[in-house]
Amino acid sequence: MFPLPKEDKKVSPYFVFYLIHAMQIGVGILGFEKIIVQSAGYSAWIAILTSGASIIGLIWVSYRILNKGNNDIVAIHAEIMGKWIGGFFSFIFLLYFFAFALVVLRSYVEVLQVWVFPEVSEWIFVLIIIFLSYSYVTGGFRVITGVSYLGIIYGLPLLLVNFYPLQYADYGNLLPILSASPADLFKASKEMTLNFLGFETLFMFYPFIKDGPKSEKWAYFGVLFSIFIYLFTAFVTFVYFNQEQLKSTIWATLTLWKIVDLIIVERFEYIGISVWFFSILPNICIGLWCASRGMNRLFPISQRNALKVFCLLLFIISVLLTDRQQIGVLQNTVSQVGLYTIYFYLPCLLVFQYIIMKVKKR
Amino acid sequence: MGFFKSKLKRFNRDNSKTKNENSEHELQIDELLHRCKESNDFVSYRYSNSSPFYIHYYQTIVDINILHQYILPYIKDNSSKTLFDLQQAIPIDNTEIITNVHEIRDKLLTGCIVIEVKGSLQEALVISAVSLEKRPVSLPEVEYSVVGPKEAFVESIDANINLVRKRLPIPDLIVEEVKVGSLTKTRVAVLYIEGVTDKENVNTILQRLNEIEFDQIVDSSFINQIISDNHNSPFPHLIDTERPDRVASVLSEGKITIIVDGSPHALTGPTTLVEFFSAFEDYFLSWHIASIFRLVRLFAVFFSVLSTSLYVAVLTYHYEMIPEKLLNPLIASRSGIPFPPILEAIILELTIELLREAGARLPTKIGQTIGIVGGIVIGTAAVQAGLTSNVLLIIVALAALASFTTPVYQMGNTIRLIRFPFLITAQLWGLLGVTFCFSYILSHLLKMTSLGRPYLAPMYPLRLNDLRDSMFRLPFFMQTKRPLQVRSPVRTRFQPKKHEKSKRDIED
Amino acid sequence: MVQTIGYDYVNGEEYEGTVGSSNIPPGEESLPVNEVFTAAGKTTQRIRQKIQAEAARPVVVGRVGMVIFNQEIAEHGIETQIDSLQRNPSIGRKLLLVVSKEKAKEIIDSEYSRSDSVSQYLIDVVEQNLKETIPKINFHRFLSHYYSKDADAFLPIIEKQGKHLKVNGLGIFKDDKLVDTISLGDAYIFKILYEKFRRGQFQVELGGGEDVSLENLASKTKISVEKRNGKYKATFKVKVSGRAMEGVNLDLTDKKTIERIEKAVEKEITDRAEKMVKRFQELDVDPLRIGEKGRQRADFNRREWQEQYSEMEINIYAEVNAVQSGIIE
Repeated sequence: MFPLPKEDKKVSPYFVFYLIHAMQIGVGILGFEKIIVQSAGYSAWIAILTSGASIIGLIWVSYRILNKGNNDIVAIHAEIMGKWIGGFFSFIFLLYFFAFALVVLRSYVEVLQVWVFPEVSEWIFVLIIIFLSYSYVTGGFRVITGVSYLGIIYGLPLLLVNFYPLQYADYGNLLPILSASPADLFKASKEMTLNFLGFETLFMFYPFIKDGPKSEKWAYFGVLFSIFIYLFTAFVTFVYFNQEQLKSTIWATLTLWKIVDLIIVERFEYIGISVWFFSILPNICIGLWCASRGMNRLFPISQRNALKVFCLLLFIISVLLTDRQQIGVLQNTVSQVGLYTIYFYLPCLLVFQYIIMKVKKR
Repeated sequence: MGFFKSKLKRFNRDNSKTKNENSEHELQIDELLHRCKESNDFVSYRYSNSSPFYIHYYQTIVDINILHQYILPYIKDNSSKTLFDLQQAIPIDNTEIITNVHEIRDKLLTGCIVIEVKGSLQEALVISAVSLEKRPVSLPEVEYSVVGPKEAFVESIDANINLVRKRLPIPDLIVEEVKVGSLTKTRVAVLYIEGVTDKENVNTILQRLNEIEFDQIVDSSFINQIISDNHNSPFPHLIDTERPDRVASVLSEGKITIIVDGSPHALTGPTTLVEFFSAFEDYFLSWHIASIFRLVRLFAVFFSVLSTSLYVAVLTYHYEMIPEKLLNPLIASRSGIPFPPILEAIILELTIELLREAGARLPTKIGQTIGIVGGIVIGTAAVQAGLTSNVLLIIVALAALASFTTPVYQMGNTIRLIRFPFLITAQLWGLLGVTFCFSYILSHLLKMTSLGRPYLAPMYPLRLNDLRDSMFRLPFFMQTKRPLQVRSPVRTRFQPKKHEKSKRDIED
Repeated sequence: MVQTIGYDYVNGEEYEGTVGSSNIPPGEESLPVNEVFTAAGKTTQRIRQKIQAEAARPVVVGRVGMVIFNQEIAEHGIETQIDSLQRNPSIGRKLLLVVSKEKAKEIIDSEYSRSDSVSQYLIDVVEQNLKETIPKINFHRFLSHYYSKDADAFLPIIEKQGKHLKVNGLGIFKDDKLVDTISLGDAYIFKILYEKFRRGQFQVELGGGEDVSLENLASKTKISVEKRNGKYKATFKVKVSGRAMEGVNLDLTDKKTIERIEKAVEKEITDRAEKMVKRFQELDVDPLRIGEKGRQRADFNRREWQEQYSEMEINIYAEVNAVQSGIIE
C-alpha cells in the first residue's frame, strides 16, 4: 500500500546532516537573540544548549520510531492506527509541514520588505520564491537534498563575517555567567526550541535515505552543528550589543552585519540577506516537498498536482497576511503546534507503536 | 521546438516513402546504373569490345591511379573471363563479389569501382578505391596549448581514430560504428576502452545514436545537441575537443568518445560542469600552477557572469554598500551620464557581443582590426561622449575577457548568454534579483544530467575523491582512482608505489 | 545623496535640519561642488520632505557618514533624532556622531581649505582624531552606551577655527542630554582610561621648564569593582609604556631622568584622571562604564549602585614604563 521509493531516487545517509541542519537554520537565526534574551538575559546561551540537548533526545526517539516502521510517517500512522485515524494524523502532519514553509516564506519576505525593498509589494517576492521552490521540488528529492547541501555551503561564509563585529566586542557583557533564574532559562529554552524545529521532516524523507538506520549519527551531527552555529551567533551578538540595546533590536544578526566593512564592500547586511536566501530556500522546498509527497501518499493525487495546489495556497495565504501582527500570530501558532508535536506526540507515538507491535506479534 | 519536431516528422515520412518505392520493385543493376548516369561525374563503360567487363564508378570519389595500375592491366590481359577470375587476378585486397543491388549501390557511392559482366546480371565485383580529400593533421586552433602535443583532429574519421589509437595501442580500445543521418549517412564512431568504461554508458550512447532521426549530420555538434539529456538547456552536455591527447586521456579515465566523420571535433562524456573549465594544458604544468590556474578560471566565470549585474544592482539599489572612498570616483564617472545603469550596461554588453560576433565571422586579419576599432575607438569615444562611465567600461571589458578564459568554446558562449538574465533581474530586484537568478540556474544545473550522470558532480553529489581533479588538480601520484562519475568497473588506475617516506636525515 | 546631516535647535518643539552632499559635475578633473539644504520641522520625516521639495535629486540618507548636533540641541535632548536614525535600515553603524559648538548649518555650509568635498573633509578630520586623541566612538558604540542602564554616552565635540575644523574635546551625555564637556587634553586621559590603544603620544612638564614627550605610547587599563559590606569601590589600574623623545634640556640617556619622567607622567595621569572622575561623580554620569563593570558581578544591585555612585570611592593607579629612544644617543 505504501511502496518504498526506488533505489536511484535515494540519497546517501550523510546527506541527513545537511537536510536536518538546513531545516534548523532558517529565518529564525536572523533575530532569535532578542527573543531569548528577553526571557533570560545574557545567560540565554545556556538555553541554546539545553534546548539543543532536548532536540538530540527527540531525534533519538524519532529514529526508534522510524527504524521500526521503516517507512514514512504516513505508512507508520496507517500501520499503527489504521487507515482513517492514521490518515487524519498524517494529514495534520502535512498541514504542519505546509505551514512551516509558509512561516519561513512569509517571515523572509517581511525581512526583505523592511530591510531592502520597502517599496515593492510582497506578492512579487512571494511569487518569485514560490516559482523557484516549485522548480526545485519538481526535480525530486535528490535535487532538494542538493539545494540544502549547497545552501549550507553558500551560507557558511556568512559565519566568517561574524568575526568583524568582534573588534567592537566587550567580553564583559557575558558576565556574570548565571544571571537568570531556572524558570527564565526554561522559558528561554522553550523559545529556543522553536528555532530547532524542522527536523520533523525526517518523518517524510526517511525512506529516501539509503540505509536509513545508518543516517542516525549524521542527524545528531546536524543538530550539533546547528547548536554550534546558534551558539556562535549568540556569542557574537551578546558581546557586540549591550543587553538593553539588543532587547530593542528585532533582527540582531542583520544589525550586526551593518558594521562589517570588507574594504570594497560596506554594509554587509544587503549581501547577507541575499545570500541568506540560499538557507531559506531549502526550508520552503523541503516543507513543500513533504506536504506534497504526503498528499500523494494519502490521496489518489499525483505529487505534481498536490504541489501545484500547495503552491497556490502558499501564494494566496502569504499575500493575505499583510501586517507584522498577523505574521506573528502565524509564527506563534505554528511553533506552538510544532512544540507540542515534538515533545508530547512523538514520545507517545513511540510508546504506542511499541505496544501495537507487541500486540500484533501475538 | 514544436515546429522543429513537426518538420522532422514530415521529413521522416518523405524518407520512408522513398524507401518503400525502392523495395517495391526489386532494384535491378541496370536500373541502378541508369539512375547513376544522370549524374555527370558517373563513369560507365565497357573496357573494349572484346572484353566482357563493364566498369562503373564516380570519377570524383575514386582514386583513378588504382584503376589504371591495378585493374585495367588485368582486364586487358584477357585471361580472365569471369568476375571470380578477375578477383583472383587483381592484386588488391579489398575486393568482393556482391549480389545485393542495394549493397552495390552503397559501395558505389562510398568510392568503390564496380565491375560487372554482361550476362550475369545480379553479380558485381566491387573494388575499393576511395580517394578522400582531407587536410593534413594540423595545429589545434580552438584549444591551443603552449606546451604539449600540437596535433588536432581533422575531418576524416579514419585519420582521427588513427590519432587516438596510436596513443592507446591496446586491443581493449573498441570502436563501434553507426551510420546516422538519412541523407548524409554519416559514419559515427563510439570509442571506449573495454573493461574500464561502464557498459551502461556505452549502451546509453549507442541507443541514443540509433534513435537519431535526422537527415543531415554534418558535424559532431549536431550529435551533441540531438542526444543531449535536456534539449532546453543552454549548457552543453558533452565536451567537444579537437585534441587527440585529450581524447586518449579521457578514454583512459573511463569516459566515452564520439567521433563523427567530417567533423574535427570529438565529443566526450559523461561530463561535469567543472570539467568544462579545465584546459588540457593543466596536465602539462606542475600541479600547483595548474590548480591556481583552474581556480582563476572558475573565478573568471563568476566574475564574467556576475560583475555587470552586480554593478547594476549596487548602483541602482544598494549604493550604501560602496565605501566612502570608492564612492567619489564612482560618482565622478557616473555623473552626467544620461542613462540609468541598466541601459548603460546593456549597451556596453551588446557592443562587446557585436565585436565578438563580427570578429568571429570575418577572416582573422580583418577580425583583429575590428577588435582594435571596436575596443579602442568605440570604447574611448563612448566614454568621452559621456554615454557610458569608464568604470563600467572597465568592468564589461574585464568580464568579456574573463569569459574567454573558458577553455571550451561552447561553454564560453553559454556563459556570455546567461549574463543577460542576471542583468535583467539585477535591475528589477537588485542583489536579491541576482540571487533569484542564480538559484534558478542552480535548480537547472541540479536537475541536469550528462548521459544520465549528475552534472554538478563532484560538488553535488559530493565526491571527495573526484575533487582531486576538478576545481584543482592534485599531483599525479594522488590521482590513483578513476572518477566515480563514470562508474568505471575498475576504479583503480594504478597501484601507487609505497613511497619510502623520506625519513632520511638531512645529510644521508 | 546625503553625506552629512546637521541638527540645530529652534525652539522647544521644532528643530532645524541641514543636509550636505557633494556633487561632482561631469568632465574630467572637476572639483566636487557642495550642495546644502536646510529646513525646519518637528520630525525628521517632515524635514526630509521639505528638503526634498527644494532638491533636484532624490534625497537619500543611506550613505550618510556624519551627523552633527549643535550644542544647544544636544543640551535639550536628541532622542527623536537618534531614534529615527537607528530605525532606518539604510543607516549604517559606522556613522560618526558629533556635537558642534557652532550651528551645525554653519559647519556644513562653509568652505574649508581642501580640495575634497566638505563632508569628506569633516569625516576625515574626526576619524583621524578618533584614532589618536579621543576615544573611538561611532553610532554603534554610542547606542550601546545610550541604551545601557549602567553607563552613559559621550560624543566628540567639534569646532570651526578659521578655515579648519578642530576636534575640541568630549561632550558627556546623561541619557539623551548633553551635561558636560571636557577639554581635548582631558579627552586624552579619558581615552587612556576608556580603551586599550597603541601609537599614542603624551606630553608632560617636569617642572623648571623641562618638557618631555612620550611617543609610541601603549596603554591598557583595568577597571575592577569591589563590594564590601554593601559598599562599592572601583579601581582603575592604568599601565602605560612609551618611549621618551624630544626632551628639552634633558639627558635622556640617564636612568634617573627616565625614572623622573615616569614618576611625572604617573602623577599627571592620576591627578587629571581623578579630577575628571570626581567631576563625573558629581554630575552622576558614568561614561567610563564603571557601572557596566559593576554589573558583571553576580551580587550587583542596580538600586544600591545608583545611590552610591556619586559618593563611592574610585581609585586610580598609574604605572608608567618609559624607555630611552631615538636613533641617536
